[in-house]
Amino acid sequence: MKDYYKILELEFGADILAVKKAYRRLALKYHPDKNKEPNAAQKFIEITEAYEVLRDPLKKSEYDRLYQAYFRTTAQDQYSEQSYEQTYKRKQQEWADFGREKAEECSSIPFEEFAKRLLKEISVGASYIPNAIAILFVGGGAIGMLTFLPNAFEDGGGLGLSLLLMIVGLGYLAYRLFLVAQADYKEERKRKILNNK
Amino acid sequence: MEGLVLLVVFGGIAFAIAHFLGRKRQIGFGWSFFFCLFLSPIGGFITTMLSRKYYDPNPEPSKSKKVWGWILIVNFSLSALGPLMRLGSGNGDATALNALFMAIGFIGLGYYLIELSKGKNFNTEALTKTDE
Repeated sequence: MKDYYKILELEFGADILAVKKAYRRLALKYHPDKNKEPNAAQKFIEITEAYEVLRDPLKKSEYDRLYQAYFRTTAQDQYSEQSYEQTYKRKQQEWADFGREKAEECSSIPFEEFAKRLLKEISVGASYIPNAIAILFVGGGAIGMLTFLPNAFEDGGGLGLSLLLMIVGLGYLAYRLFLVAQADYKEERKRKILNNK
Repeated sequence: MEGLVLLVVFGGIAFAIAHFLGRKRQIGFGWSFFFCLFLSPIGGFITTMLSRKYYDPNPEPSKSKKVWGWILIVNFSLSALGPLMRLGSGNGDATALNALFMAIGFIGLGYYLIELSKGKNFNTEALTKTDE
């Protein structure tokens, strides 16, 4: 049985996020357009096959059950020998075909384009502490001002309106700060992945 | 005496923000320090944080930044006239000086935005290294 976790250099049971990270790292390393080693194309197919199975929650749970039945003797009672063989062979062929098809599709794309597509999927968060402080500061200011808004409108329209403008301004500033943090985070992740760090 | 202490504290905070944050961003040390001094450390900190950490060598020209830059320059140049006249006639007080200080900060911000709209990199040294 193919050990997809091992192919992706992961421990059994790794979650989908870890699978995606490992795939990004390895696929960028072994893409045939970039890596000219003789076994790179074969390795790329294996990586793609493993990824296509482990990234899908349904396929992953199916594979995990088969994996346990095959590699872990304690779980073997869940499957009888015969049913295991039948299920495994059928699934294995199906996954291998699908993986090969996907790998061929990805191999035909130039490396730059492939990297661009792959890195597009990066989930983004504003993780920088200084950025987070600035966002909290500005966002907190806007929220704080909101509490004064009803009283400001009672006292007179002018004060309420200027307060409202300030809230909108601060809110927009917080949003811009978030966008900058997001863009920087994305760029940093891209660079790390492309440099295989 | 109180003013001097405040200036030293503000200067220290401004230097820290410019050194630890501004130096690594597109804004650079100089502009970050300028904004921290003239727009208060909070204003400077937010402006520094609004600057990108990674420089895009082919940025899209931004019309809105240019427009905002000119609005700031025109508006605060006019608003600086009042405090300037008060200071010139010898009736200047701390409020007039503060207003002038703030106006200089915002005029600087306007100029910075106009330059930014052209895609200028204010921190060539640090960001070129990162891009390599």
